[in-house]
Amino acid sequence: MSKPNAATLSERKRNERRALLADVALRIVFVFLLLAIWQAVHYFTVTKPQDVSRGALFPAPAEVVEWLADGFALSWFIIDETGTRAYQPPPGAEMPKSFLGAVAQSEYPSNIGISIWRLLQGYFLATIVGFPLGLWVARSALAEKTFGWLSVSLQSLPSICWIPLALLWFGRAGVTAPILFVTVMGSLFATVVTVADGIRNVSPILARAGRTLGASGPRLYFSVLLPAALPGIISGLKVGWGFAWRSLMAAELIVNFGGLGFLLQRDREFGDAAGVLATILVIIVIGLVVQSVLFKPVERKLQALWGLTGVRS
Amino acid sequence: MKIAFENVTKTFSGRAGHVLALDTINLTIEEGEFVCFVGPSGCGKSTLCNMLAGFEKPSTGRVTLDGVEVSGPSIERAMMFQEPALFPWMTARANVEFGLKSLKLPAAERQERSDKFLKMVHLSQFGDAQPHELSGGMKQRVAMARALAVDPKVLLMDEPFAALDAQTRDHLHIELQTIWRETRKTIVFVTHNVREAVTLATRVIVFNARPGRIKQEFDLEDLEYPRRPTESLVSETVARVQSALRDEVAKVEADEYDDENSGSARNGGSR
Repeated sequence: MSKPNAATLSERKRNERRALLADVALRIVFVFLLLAIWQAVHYFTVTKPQDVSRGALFPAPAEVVEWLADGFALSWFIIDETGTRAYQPPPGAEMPKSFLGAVAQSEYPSNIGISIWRLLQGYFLATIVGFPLGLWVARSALAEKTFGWLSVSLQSLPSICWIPLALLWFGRAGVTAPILFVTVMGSLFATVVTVADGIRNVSPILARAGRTLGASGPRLYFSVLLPAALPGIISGLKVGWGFAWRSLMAAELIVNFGGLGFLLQRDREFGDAAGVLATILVIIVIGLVVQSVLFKPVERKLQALWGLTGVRS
Repeated sequence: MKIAFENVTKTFSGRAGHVLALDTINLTIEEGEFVCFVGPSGCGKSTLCNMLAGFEKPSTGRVTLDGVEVSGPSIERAMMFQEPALFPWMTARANVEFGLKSLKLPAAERQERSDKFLKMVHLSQFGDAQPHELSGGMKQRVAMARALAVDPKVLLMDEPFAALDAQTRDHLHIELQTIWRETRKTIVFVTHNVREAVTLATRVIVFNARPGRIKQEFDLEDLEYPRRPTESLVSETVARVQSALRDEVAKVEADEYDDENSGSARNGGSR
């Protein structure tokens, strides 16, 4: 084992940090460039004075930011010359006394809550069914030829295609049931297929090593095959999450009752492109945050433990 | 302890029809022997080793250990492979203790044995290292410690050093000789490298190719340890074994290089 000495180690760390800073700087410049182009397009497309409003088809970046601020009740902090708050409570509601009160009744936090709660339920159901199915498909030729084949076929169906059926079957049971149905169907088969692939990709030599060292049955499964498949399983769960999130948004757009998908649809109906863009940004950020908070650390931990080469020993 | 191959044959069925890979192998291995199977590729030497490990079944005949027919893998017949096949999520020590857990040894005894065998392969300092932190030779030494620690009746080694560089391999030959002389463990070692076989084994078995048959046996009991390939007695023996193998290698080459130039080799073959 080559043990790098302290000098080269700190040098490597410094280089890594420098590369990271350069990356961040590059992205900031890139985003500014995009914003400038956006602003220019907005400037040249808005011709009539009445276009310069919330209803503009091509809003300026500032309008989207304003919309986001309203949506998160950040405008509660802003007080104009007359001493009134810029934050507008929803019709019928009183002006909240604290910022947190404003956040609680504001648009994004409450709808993010609705969407995330639906996502968690749907993802939980899809995983609790899909994960064991994936394990089974990987281990049994019979399961592979039946459920494995079915999963690969159904996985190719865009999840939005389940919506009509969801409404027919579960439409009368309220709004949550059809949304959950679509989320589960969108995520379940991807989970089965990726988890099964993850297990099947385990090098057979590890199983042989386990067996020649006296492991069989459950011990072989739980102390050799399952840990060896862990990187594949994690990526299976990640893929399942991605599919659940996409399916949920599709379902919310159509079922149109609460959640971020509902906000997209509502703002479209009001002709509010700024609102639609703001909601899209929120959806992107949630995706990135879950990716980097939930899955990245686990993946990084596994990579460190396994060496960077994956499951090969 | 006694291993016996009794009239073992193995037929593989493929697209080209049936291929007789092993033809009527009869062989016994006694306690404390260090036996090397040598032969050209495709002679079935690894298949024979896999049968003893319990990973493959003979088409006819049987393989027995102490009179009991081998029916599957067992910790009594621990095996080492060409790859180290270490569990990458475990430390070197946890890898060595894996088989000891199968034997249901208490933690204190597991620790004691993993200490002993890590020391035997000169890796006492590396018990806490993850496999990916170790070099190829070190990984293979951990694998050796892991297989030896369970105290198998026979240690099976299927070309364990084939993927290592020449220098590391020479080191490991010396290490393995020392370990064998200390433990007198029965070892069945598969290789295509004659020099390796002669350096290590008390008995070298040379195989015919297609179908795999035992061609000749060399008893090297009298060749003194430690052996080094540079010693004249060792290199003379290598030459003797190599000449037995030469025809076989030519035969395989003639089959695999299907062109005009190999015609002479084909005619010179013993088929």
